[in-house]
Amino acid sequence: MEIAYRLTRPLRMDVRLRVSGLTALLGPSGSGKTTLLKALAGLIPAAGRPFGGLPPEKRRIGYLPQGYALVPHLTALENVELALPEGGGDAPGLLEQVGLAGHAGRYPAELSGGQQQRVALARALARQPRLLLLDEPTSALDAISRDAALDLLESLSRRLNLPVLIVTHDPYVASRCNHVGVLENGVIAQAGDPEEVFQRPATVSIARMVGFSNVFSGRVVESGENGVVLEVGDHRLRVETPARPPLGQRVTWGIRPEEVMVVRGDRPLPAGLRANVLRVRVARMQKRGAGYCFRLSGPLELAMLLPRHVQDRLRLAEAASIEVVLKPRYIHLFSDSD
Amino acid sequence: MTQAFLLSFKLAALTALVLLALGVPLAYWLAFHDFRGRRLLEALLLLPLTLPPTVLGFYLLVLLAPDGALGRLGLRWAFTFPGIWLGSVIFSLPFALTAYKEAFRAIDPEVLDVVRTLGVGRVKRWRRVILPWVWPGLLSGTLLAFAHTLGEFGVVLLVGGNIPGETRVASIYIFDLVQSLDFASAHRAAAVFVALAFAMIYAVRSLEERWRSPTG
Amino acid sequence: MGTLRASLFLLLVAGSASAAGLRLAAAANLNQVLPELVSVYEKLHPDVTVAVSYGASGTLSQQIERGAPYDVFLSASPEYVDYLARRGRVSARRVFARGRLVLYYSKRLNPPPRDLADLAAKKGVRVAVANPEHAPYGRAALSCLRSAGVYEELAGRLVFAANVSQAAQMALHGADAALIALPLARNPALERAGGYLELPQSCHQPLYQEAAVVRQSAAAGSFLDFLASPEAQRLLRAYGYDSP
Repeated sequence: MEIAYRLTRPLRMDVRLRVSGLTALLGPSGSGKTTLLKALAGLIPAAGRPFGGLPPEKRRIGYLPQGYALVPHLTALENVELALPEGGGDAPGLLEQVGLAGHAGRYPAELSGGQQQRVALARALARQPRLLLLDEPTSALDAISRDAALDLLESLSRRLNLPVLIVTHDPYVASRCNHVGVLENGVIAQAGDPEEVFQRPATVSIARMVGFSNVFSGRVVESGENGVVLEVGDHRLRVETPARPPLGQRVTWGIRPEEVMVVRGDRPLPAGLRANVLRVRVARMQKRGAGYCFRLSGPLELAMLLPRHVQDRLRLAEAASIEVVLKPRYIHLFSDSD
Repeated sequence: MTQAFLLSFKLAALTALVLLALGVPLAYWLAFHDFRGRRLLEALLLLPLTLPPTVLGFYLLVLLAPDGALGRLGLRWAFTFPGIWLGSVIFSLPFALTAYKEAFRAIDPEVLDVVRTLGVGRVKRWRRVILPWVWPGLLSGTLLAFAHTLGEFGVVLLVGGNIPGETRVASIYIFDLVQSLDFASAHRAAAVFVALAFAMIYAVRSLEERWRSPTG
Repeated sequence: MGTLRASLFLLLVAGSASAAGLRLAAAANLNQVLPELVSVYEKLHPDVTVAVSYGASGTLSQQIERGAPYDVFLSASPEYVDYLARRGRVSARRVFARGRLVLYYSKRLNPPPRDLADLAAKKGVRVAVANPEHAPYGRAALSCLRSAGVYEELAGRLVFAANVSQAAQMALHGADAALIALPLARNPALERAGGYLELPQSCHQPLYQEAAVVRQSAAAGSFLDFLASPEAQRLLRAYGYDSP
């Protein structure tokens, strides 16, 4: 589904976005993600396609705000029945679809957060919506429930051929979607599949949003058919990129912390990579989730993320002096609109 | 005595009904719609609280006299039951309205928003979502207005005078007995009146407890 | 369901006026004699039901002027009847008695006062009177105080009641003395709690009690006639009123 919405209050926004399957909407706080959802649901005056001009009661939309908005004095079943015409529809069936068949008679206060969300989902689906809107559906859930929720959404979206727009700030959720849009300054600054946005963020601010923390400046000193060479301090780094910035141009470039690679003594590097090797010192090491986060100091201040098995093998320690290589393929040039 | 008591309960019941019919939509509107001058309107509606009952009663009397602004429109209600009914409604309005507004404010507006997106029309919204949510608060407010009107004296005396069978409510009747030095009757009447009022209010409260849904 | 309907019916019907009703607005000082007078009248006219509201004569006359639904006005002074007559509200009028002002004093005052001067001499004594703005007995009270030369002395210690009956009630609760109508001083509750002195009639304007028909009807006229009847006059005398 293609959506194109324009609003002036409470924020100025002009958004054009394709929603296909699970689509994540990323953006900094206050950028208007929730406002956009409300505008799509018809709760805020706005002009746009589709549903423009219709009151919320007439829009075939499912809207799940962060609080789920279940009616507290109705049971799960009665909540779902609200969306159905009198005596019609199959409320028990819908609850079954989200895995809550046995909880039909419970009140929202008696259900866990994840269960409440599923009731809200069943209720939204009862509406037979053409578009599903979810506001931060996983921020209150633990990792297991989060995965279960995403699995459920994926299967529902596929089975019902239903576009789902998910507002989130969690990169993991975005990575599980088939499409990602980044909202900045009231417009979609970048849209594409998750890999596109995460590996090649269009601007530095988007880069920061997607966890791209190594951002530096360099000057173009060579330009060829495979890429360019950047002068960064005393080093020259080869970059594989389709972009052809002019010689002498100062550019902003970066590399994801996950893609900084440690040079191993027992595995020699191919010649082509030798140029991009840097000698650094481990300034700080921290456990991060199931892996490790490193701060490296040297010609560049680099952030590096290593999975546990790699660290187990390498056994890096603070103050150690090591060599890292920045593979030309992983170095990303930002558009100079920054 | 019976006549005065029945009059008091009749006045209180009819006042409560009017306040329910007028106050609920008004409170809903004030609770959910923001508009320029809302605060001014809310302050105006609370004004009767600050006015001495006799002052309120007096000005109402002037308006309802045959040559008053309302009297000339055909509302010749000075010294009649409709007159004290009007006075009681105005005087108890702030109590009822405040309670009703609080009841509506307790509703999560996000829930109402989402219910709308589910295609639930206005009637069904009121029946299944709003009213079940607010009725305890509405009942409290109405009961408060009822009780307040039962005890009303100043407004009724000024607007209604002391016409037996028409505007001589229990509070005035008892006061009359005291003034006439008939203290024995005054004590008796006061005791019966308080007992009746208490029993009524207690009964309503008990019913409310029994009818409460699990939301509490 | 039956009781619900019955009580609803009662509720709606309560307060609706009876068929042949007569509404009296009476000066407060008449509240001792009027119940008995009304009782006698109703026996003579069984088709009429009488309802009475008491108040200060001035207050009642203002209400009547504003349209209060009274049929007959019994004033403690002709001047309020004049007031209504000037506004075309009076269709018939008759003076039916003359009232007396007394000084009632509480048992607490020991020794009891011998006259107004004696009363004024007692330190800190509080005296209740009807509000002279609205009540003839109140005006009469002030007149007597001036006449006795003690008004200035007592002025700061006067307590003003809405009407003369309330002044009597105050004498029972809080005030030490009150200038009230004779029938009130003879009320059992007051007799038990104190005593009274009659005041010279010359110290105030005569308190002529006058009745006026303010809404014409057969019953209203007949009540006025009744007040002049020997039986009514006898009752009035018994309660302490003089013939007009």
